[in-house]
Amino acid sequence: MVDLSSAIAMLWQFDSIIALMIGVLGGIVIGVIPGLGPSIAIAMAIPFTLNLELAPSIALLMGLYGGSIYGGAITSIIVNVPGTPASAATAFDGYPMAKRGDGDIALTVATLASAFGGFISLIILMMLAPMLASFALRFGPIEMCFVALFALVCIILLDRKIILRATIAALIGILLAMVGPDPVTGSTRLTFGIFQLSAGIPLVPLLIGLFAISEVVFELTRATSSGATKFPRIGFRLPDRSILKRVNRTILKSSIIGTAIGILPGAGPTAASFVSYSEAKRSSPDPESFGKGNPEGVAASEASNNAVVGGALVPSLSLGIPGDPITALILAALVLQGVIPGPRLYAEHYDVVLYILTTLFLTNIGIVVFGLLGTHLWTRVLQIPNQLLMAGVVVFATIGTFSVNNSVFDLSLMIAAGLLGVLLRLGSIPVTPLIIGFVLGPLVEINLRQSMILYAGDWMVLWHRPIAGLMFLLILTVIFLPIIKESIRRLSARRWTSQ
Amino acid sequence: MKQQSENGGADRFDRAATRITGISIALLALSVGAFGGLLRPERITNFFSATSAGLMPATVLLALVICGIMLAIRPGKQRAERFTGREIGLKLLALLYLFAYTWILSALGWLLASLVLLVSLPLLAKYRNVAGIAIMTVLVLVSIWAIFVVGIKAPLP
Repeated sequence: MVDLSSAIAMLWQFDSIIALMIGVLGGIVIGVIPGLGPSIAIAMAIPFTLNLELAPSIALLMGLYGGSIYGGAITSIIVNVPGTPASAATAFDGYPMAKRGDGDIALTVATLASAFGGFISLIILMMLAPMLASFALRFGPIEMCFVALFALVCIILLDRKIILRATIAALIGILLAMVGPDPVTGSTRLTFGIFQLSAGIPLVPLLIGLFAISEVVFELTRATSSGATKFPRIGFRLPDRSILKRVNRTILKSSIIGTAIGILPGAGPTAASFVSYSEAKRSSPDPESFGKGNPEGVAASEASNNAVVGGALVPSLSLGIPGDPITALILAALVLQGVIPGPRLYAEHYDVVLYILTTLFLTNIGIVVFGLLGTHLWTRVLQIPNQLLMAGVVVFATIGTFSVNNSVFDLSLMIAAGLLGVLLRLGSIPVTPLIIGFVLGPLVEINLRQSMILYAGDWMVLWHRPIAGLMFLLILTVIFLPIIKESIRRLSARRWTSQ
Repeated sequence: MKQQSENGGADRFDRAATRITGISIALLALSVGAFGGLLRPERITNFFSATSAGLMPATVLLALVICGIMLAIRPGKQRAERFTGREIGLKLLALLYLFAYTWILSALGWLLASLVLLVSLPLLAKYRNVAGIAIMTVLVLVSIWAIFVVGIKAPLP
């Protein structure tokens, strides 16, 4: 009760409410602009949050998170260009609806589905995260090491076609995290004699370089304007009651799917929206209408991608293990504010957890209010030429990065990270595992080395600590099960053809 | 026939690009290991001890070298996004331009340096609407001033 009143007191500050509103509005605008998305929005917001108090900075981040995931739907529906990859499935039915004159219905369904997806995932987050956190209090260094390794392995194995490239990205991320002081001895490593690197590579320039600067470079050299001249009918209109009934069922189911996928490391909102869309189509009495303007398709995609927000925060807040780059950025921002996510957060700072939940709840209300009222305004954003937008992004990103440490060296690091981002994209190496590797690398290292000291390299400890043993088995299963299944499938296929 | 030869060429291009990527990663990892001080005697002694500062970086670098070699040997069937030499050059030039901005930022201060960037960047990217550039420039500079100088009172260059 004391925690709840403390959370409400944090929210009741003028700064927090303004930050939340700016977050939702800014998030929607960034989500609307193709090429920019939640990762860039949060990476660019981190420098601002460092100069804010805890309450407004959390409000800003949560508003940006929810708002930017929702914002992508607007562009998908109106111009058939997904503002974010997570809203690509929304375009399948949203754009055909807009073309036949039902753009306002599509936007209304997308807005309501996004908000309800967020609400439902929030309820699941409230129920599941405390249980996971109290269970995780039994974790020692070896268990934490395996949990972090499990998240890393899941992210690497997400797309089996690019496992090697994802592994390379994760290793680069881990290596970058190792620059600076050794966590056990304190001696410096991999600094190449550069004094400024002796404290390690700061997160903000790395993130801004990898996400914002590399994106700006690609957008500028693409040199195509995003200016759309003619927009379909937009505004607010509810569908018929019969359609609404079907849509409600789809929203509920997709929200649960989205939350479950959000909890899994690496899957993220894009996978959630596609899985939910396929499920809605599969279970629909009229599957042929999908792809031709069925509001259920819009509802499925939008409810699930926003439900990922709550789902992804379950392992992030309770274990301190981020499931995707967006939650990794949020965790980094919380750490920079002095809040350490993990099981102890629930025991020691439950008011902060409640405050995060409350801001997420208000973010979803903000999505409904600003989403429905501002439709005409958001479409105007699409008419701003790319070249002007990118110039603005560079200035904001650069000045934001400088303001964190008042350091010119950080700006050089930001450009170096931008170069790394460009090279990775040229080499078709994904950035997501790199960020997760950068965040989880130190967690793996410190816990592994602590375990080595504690258990003197005795592997039998896995037998005496069953949670660690189970986690180890889980990692092996995740790695080898698909390989074994594939081998069995090939073997049985060969046997069948020989018969 | 033409289609077939184009596809054949495309696959060769993909494999060659992946091989170059793999070799570059392996070489880069080796150089980081060599020049990053990991092979110094005090780092090599008690290498497998939990207190060895070089254990994890060396393991990660070794894994990177192996992954790089594997990528070079077995490039796989993944199609890479195509870029011409000119496109890559343009991207590097754009980065150089952004680096120059960060450099003049400390020399000229945020206001002048950002003004130069906000005007020159759209022009260099072939956007010629002067009114649009002027509006955006004023909007961004006023926002920066309002947020950083008045709002959060952050130190600016």
